[in-house]
Amino acid sequence: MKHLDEEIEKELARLKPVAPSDALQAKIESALEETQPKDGLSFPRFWPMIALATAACLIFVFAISITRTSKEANSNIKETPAESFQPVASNSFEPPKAEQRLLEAIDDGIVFTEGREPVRKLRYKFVDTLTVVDKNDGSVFTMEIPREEILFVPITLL
Amino acid sequence: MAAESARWQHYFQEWGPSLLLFARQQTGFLSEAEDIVQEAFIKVWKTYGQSSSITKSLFYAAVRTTAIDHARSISRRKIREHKVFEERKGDLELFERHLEIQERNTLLEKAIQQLSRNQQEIVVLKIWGELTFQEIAAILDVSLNTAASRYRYTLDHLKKEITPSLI
Repeated sequence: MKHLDEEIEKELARLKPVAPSDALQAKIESALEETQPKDGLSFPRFWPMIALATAACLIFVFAISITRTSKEANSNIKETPAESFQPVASNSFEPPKAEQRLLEAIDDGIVFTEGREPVRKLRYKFVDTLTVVDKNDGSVFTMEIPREEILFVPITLL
Repeated sequence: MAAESARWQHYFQEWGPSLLLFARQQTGFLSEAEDIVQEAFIKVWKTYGQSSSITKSLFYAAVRTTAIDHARSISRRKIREHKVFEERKGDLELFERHLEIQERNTLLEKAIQQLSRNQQEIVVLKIWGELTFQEIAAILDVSLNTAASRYRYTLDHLKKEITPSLI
């Protein structure tokens, strides 16, 4: 039996897969050249400068927004009459009932990310249901919140 | 740059034919299989090109993932167009032709093409990819036992198909 297995394996191994065309090789070559960083503009050399410039811009924008907000806040201060606002007693609601339902688990397979080890991407789709009952009038509030969790599991390809 | 080019070309010469075979087995169309090999090669090279940790199984895993992505995105219309084009081209041979053993090769090739997708996958990875069951199991996301038993089952199936004529 094992002899037959080996015979067939040998027969199969004698078949030589058709070689890729020269055109394919040329296409890969040019695509790889395109992905090479250009001299003088390579990201690794320039990234500290880009990071510094971005940080400076962010600080500038932040400073402007703080100044504007404080000015607007000063000019818009109004007295709010206490009677117009009736807070709902926080203890009038029953403790909420929460439920988590898994709708779908999707395996997106192995994902290659630049400069990192390959990972397996798994997506889980949930619906979280939150139910709250008002003790005063018995009204029930139900909220359904769709949620998706994405999990990356590192894998090792030997 | 020249050394870099020589390096990837070395891998391409060595593994290109079996990677293309694997991609063709995944997609069924030569032109799409070539796109998949190209994309997979670039993915692996961009990620691991600078390191010395490039392995065959990385390329096979990349081909499989890329083929799955392609299958999700390609429209039915495009598949039909491809099929018609490929059939017209008569470009259906997966293996090189040798006149003296052409009949045997044709028989084997037919038997391989009649295998299920899972069986084809495992036989390509094992015979022409020359991967271990451990590597195959990681690529196909199955257990080691499943990979090994699927391979043996496939060999049994092939034996039934071709033994009377070959042995």
